[in-house]
Amino acid sequence: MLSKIHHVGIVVRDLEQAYGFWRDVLGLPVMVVKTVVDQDVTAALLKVGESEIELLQPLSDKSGIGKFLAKRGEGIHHLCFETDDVDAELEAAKAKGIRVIDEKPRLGLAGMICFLHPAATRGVLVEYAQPLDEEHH
Amino acid sequence: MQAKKIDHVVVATPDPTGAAATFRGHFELPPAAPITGSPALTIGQARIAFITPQGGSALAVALAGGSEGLAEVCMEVASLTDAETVLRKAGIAFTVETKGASRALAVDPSAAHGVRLTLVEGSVGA
Repeated sequence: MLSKIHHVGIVVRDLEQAYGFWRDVLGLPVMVVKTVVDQDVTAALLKVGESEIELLQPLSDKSGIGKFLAKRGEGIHHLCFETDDVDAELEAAKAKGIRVIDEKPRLGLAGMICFLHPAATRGVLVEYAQPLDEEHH
Repeated sequence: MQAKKIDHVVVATPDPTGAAATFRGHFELPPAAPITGSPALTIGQARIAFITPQGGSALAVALAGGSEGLAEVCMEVASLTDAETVLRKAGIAFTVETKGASRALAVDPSAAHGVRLTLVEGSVGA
């Protein structure tokens, strides 16, 4: 079952510069910052109510996020729903015939995650995330 | 300023009813009261609104180019007056808009890293 918006992913050119607005002007506290080496991205999660804003800074122009930035510039990248069972949600999506990007959940910044294909969801890149126990908010 | 929560996100689409049905079918999200007259679904304390941008707005232009997708984040703040003061002090451009019966501050996307971000005081209704 999907319980809430876990985060909205936003691609930025420079994380430190982005803090100047999202943290310092909007007052959103930075909860975690991590570099995900295999995705060539540094990401920060900033809390807003029950959800978070995920700022994504690509570390190379060859990564998926780097290509997005080069093609479309900074902006909204994806919408992530939280679930307590990402395996079941992904299987349910596949059973409904929803096109997926990840055939199996994998470890991401928000826990165990997977992405659905935006062609199946009106151009919206949707992520499912099952936070690891110590990351539950 | 302390943004309190995500009030809603907007999916820009030429077919709000169809898009809402797609999301309802895929994600089994319950319907919410319409937002500015457009269909919406509930997810936790937030909502997803499916809206066809009007007139010559940037979103309308993007849709005319065949683009459909996540287009806006709307956050609730404790006080729009305080938010206005903070934005002015920070030198951030914004416009005052109306969302249904609510007043909203639309932050210049160039200041919000390409994101169309609106701030409201209290939940946005029909």
